Amino acid sequence: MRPEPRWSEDFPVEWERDHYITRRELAKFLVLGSMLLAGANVLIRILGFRRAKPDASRRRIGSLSQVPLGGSMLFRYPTEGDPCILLRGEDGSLKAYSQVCTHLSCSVIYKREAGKLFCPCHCGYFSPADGRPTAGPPTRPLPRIRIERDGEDLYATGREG
Amino acid sequence: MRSSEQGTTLFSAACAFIMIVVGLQLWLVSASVEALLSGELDVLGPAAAASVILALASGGILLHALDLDRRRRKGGIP
Ligand code: FES
Repeated sequence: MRPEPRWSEDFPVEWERDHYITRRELAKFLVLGSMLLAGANVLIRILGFRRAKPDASRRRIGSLSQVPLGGSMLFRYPTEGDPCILLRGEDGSLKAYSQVCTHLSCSVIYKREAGKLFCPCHCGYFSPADGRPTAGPPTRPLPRIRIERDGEDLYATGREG
Repeated sequence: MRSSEQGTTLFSAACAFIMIVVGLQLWLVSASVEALLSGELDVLGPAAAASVILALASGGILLHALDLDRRRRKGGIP
């Protein structure tokens, strides 16, 4: 009797053998998916290393005259890829935060009429007093930027959180 | 039980286990993306390690099932 050709193992005639082969191939396919997902997780870890923040050092970000009372100013700190927002209260107090929303990284803006930091992507709100989320999907506060004033000049001196 | 029915049962059990593993890994990937975007970089390492371990576990289960199946077909397992 002629031996069965190899291809017929993967293309059976009977239903039972067909079930067996499809189940075996599904298991292999699932393991391939599992490996790809592990690879994706490792890739995300590598991207995380690349995003690690450099040491924040003292840097001039602008002058006081650029920020009206009750208004805001955008700047970048510690690198050109890190947008931040400086707020000047009606009483002259200065507060600065990262402009990157802690939900999904959209840019936060200052809504002067509402007196709140607002993320337009999913209507997230943050308190201008301490950067804590007050409404919407964000659950973590905005990282705070330490600000120093030297005469008319404003300096960012570090990042917290 | 007929021989191919045994094989179907064996691979069905392996598929069920691997599907649970893949579900966990999907959750790990989505949680890691969210952590990456929100700057919580500390959790990325443990998530990647857990995902790799789960992938190795699913690979191990598949190899074990293939080995059992080979032995079953050769008649090594009743
Ligand atoms: S990205 Fe800001 S609320 Fe979703």
